[in-house]
Amino acid sequence: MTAVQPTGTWTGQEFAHEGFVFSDDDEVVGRCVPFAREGFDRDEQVLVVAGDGVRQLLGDALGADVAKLASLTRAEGWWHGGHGTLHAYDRDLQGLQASGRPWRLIAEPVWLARDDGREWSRFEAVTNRCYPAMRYYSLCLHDRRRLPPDVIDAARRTHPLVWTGQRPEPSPWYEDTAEFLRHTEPAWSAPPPDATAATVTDARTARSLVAAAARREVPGREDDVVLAVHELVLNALRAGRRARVSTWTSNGHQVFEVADTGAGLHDPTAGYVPPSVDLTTGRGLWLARSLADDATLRADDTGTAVRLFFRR
Amino acid sequence: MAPVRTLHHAAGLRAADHACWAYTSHRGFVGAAVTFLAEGGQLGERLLYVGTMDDDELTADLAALPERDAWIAEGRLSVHHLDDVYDPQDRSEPAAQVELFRKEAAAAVAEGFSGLRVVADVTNLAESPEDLNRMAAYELSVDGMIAANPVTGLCAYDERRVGERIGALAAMHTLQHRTGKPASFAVTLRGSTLTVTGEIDSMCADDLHHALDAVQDVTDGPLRIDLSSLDFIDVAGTRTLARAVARMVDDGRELRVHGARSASRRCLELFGLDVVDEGEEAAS
Repeated sequence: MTAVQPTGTWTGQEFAHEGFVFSDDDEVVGRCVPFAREGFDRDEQVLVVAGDGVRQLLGDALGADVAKLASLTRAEGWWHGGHGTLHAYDRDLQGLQASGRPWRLIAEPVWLARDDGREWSRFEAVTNRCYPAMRYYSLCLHDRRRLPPDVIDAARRTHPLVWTGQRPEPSPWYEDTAEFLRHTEPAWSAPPPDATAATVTDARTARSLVAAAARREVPGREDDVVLAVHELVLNALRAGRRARVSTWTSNGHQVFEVADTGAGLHDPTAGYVPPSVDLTTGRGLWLARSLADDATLRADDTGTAVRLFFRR
Repeated sequence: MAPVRTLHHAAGLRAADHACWAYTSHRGFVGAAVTFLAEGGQLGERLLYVGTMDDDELTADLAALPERDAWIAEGRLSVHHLDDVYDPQDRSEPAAQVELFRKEAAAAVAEGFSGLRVVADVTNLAESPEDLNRMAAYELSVDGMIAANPVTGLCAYDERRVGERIGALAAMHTLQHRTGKPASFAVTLRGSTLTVTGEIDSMCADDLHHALDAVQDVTDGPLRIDLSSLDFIDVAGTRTLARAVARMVDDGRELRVHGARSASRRCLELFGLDVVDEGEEAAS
C-alpha cells in the first residue's frame, strides 16, 4: 500500500481546488488532519473556515497542533451573498498571496445549504478561471448529510480535483467554467412580445425610463435597478453609440436587458470576480451582477446583451 | 437642505437663493437679468447689476425694466463694473469678497430695503482654466453667506467662454440654468457639513472632482459629508468621491460620510469608503 499524499503532486506554485464530499465525521478527520499536518511540515500557512461541527472535530483531532493553524474561523456568518462573500474572500487571498509563500485552506461553505447560498457554486466555478496563479490548495468540504443532492452535484462539477482515498486526482465530473455557468445561469430565451423596449443614447434617459418601470414592477428595488442598468448602459454606450433597454416579466422576476451593437467580447466570468481597488474599469458589470438577484450575458458578432433578474 | 433644481426662468427667487445662469447669448442673459431685477424691485429689495461694460452700456441693458430710471433715481437700482465689486488685486481671498456683500446687504436693510438682490456676469473671473479652483471656492463661500443673509444672487456665466468649467461652477448653486441640459448636482457647505444633492454620474464626475477641490480649499478641520439627499451616484462618481476623501484624509483631515442610500452604499463599499448610518451616529 502506497503512502497517502494529501496534496498529490501539488508543489505550491499554483492554485489547486478540490471538492471533498463526506458522509460521516471520520471521513472529515481522515482527509483534513493529514492535509493540515503536511502543511505544518512544509511551513505553509494552514487556514480553516468551517462550520461549528467540522471545527470541533478538527480541533479535537489536531490536539495541541491546533495552535499551528494560521486561523480557525467560523464559516457561519461569512455569507453576504455571492458577490459580497467573494469580495471579502478575495481581499484575504490578495493578502495571503502578498506573503510570497504558498498556503492551504480547508473551507466548508456551509451557506450552500441555504436557498440564497446555492449561487456560491458559480463563484466556485469562477475561481478556477480567475485564480490560477494563486499559490494555494483549497480543500472544499461538502457534507452529504446537510446539503441537497443538486448542491453536491454542483460541487463535483465545479472542483477540478477529487479525493481518491490516496491522493487527489482530476475529477471526471469537472466542467469548464463557461459551460457550468451556461448551465446554471437563467436560460436565454427570446423576450416575450409584451416586453417594453426603448433605444437610448444617454444614460440619464435610460435611468428615468427604468426608474419608472422599477417603481411599478419591483417596488423597493428601484435604486438597485437604476444603478445596475445605468452601469450596463454606460458599457453599452462605450461599445456602440446606442443601447437598447428592455424589460419584461418572467418566472416571478422582472428582467431588465441592456443590449448594444458593439463587437462583444464574451467572457462568461466577467462581473463575478471583484475588480481590484486600483483598477479604474471593470466595476460596472460586477456591481450590476451583485445588485441583481441573478444575471446572464450573451455576446456574438452582432453585439452584447446582459440580462438582470430582480425578484418580484 | 433644498435639493438641486433646474431654473427655467429667472423668476420666483427669494432671499437666501443663490442661482447660476449659464447663457450663450448676451441678449438671453439680459432678459433673465431684467426678470430677476423686476421681481426684486417688487419685493422692496435693493438691486445691483454687475457686468464688464461701462455704466452707460449696463444701464442700456436694462431698458426693458419699466421702472429703471425711477429706481436709479431713488437709489434702489445701481450698475457696477465687475472690477469695482470684485477687487482684481484681492481675488485670491474669497472670505474678504464675501464679507463685502454681507456688509452691502446689512447696509441695504439699514436703509429700509427688504434685502439685497445682485445679478452679476462673472464670466471674466472664470475665463481661464487656472481660475476654476479659486472661483469655485469663491462661489462655495458666497453660497454659504447668501443662505444666512437677506441676499438673492444670480451668477451669470457665458458658457461659450467658460466652457466645461461651467459644470463645477454651476454645482455651487442649488438653482441652475444650463443651456440644453437639466441640473445634475450641487454641493453646499454649512459649517462643517458638506451636502451633495442631485445625481452624479460619469458625465459630471470631473465637475464633482473640481467642486471637492474647492471644498478642500475653503474648509479646515473635520468635515461631515451628507449624502442623504443624493438621488443617484454611479461607479465613476463614487470613484471621484472616494479619491477626494482619501486625499483629505491623507492631509490629516477627520472626515465622515453619512446617509448614503442602499445602492450608493454598495458603490461606496466597492471603493472601501465607510458610511456612517444616521442611526449609528445617534446611538454612539
